[in-house]
Amino acid sequence: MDSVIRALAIYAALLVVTRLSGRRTLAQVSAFHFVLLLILAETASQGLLGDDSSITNSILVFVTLALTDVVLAYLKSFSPRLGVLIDGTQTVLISGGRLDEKALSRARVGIDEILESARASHGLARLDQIDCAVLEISGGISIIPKRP
Amino acid sequence: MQRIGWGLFALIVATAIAGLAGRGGLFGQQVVQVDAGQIEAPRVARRGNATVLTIRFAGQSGRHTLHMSLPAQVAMIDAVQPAPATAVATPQGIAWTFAAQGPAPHEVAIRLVPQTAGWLNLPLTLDGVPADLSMFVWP
Repeated sequence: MDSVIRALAIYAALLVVTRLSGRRTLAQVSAFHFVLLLILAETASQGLLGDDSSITNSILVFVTLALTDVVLAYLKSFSPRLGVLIDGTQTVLISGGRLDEKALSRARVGIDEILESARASHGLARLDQIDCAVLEISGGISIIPKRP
Repeated sequence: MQRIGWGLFALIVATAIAGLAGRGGLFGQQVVQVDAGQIEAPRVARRGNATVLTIRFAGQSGRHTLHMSLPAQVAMIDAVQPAPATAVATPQGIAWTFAAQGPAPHEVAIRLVPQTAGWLNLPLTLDGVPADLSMFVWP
């Protein structure tokens, strides 16, 4: 039972931490974020396995994590509110060609990041070529270019 | 097929919560009662992980003896609390004596580390009274 409790506790803690730290933390893999993710994984692994290196413990931990994920996916499909609580919602950063400064600040997204996504996805060079930019749940930025 | 897998996951987690996968659980502990006292131990342990046997001597004597027949390749004893007054290696196993004071029960804890998976039989003798303890060890 110890393994199940550990897995559930770490799953919940990681869910809360990643949710509160913002979507960009997961999407941006800068050198700092890469190190942060490595440390997070190492610390979580210690918390999950503790001093028990048995095969049984490892199996129990990953089965519990997989089952928790399946159960949460089911619950989210029944309750959209829970889905919003767990995954968050998309944030519109540019709408109709106009920048939403508040949304940018809240989502900790810079204009250079929007331009980077615009260049990568559509080959756009300037902000005035963008009709709409949305920070997705995954942490990526979707760009809709203005129609010529 | 996937749903069968999910059912299997749920079964494994339920088994762990019930205490049949070791390290705690609703039905994880067993108590073996004999005239000389009782032994509380987990029903299931895990190989290489310490598990605690709690022995409570019922006798009012100021000295208790505990004999355990346990080959080192099957399980190692990590710690004994309180430290025994004497520990003697005999052809049948280890014989400990513990000093005791005050009213019974007198409690002794043994930290045991199973070294092999499968059924672990632990024949014990508490103040000369034999007790059979067994537990399943997961790999």
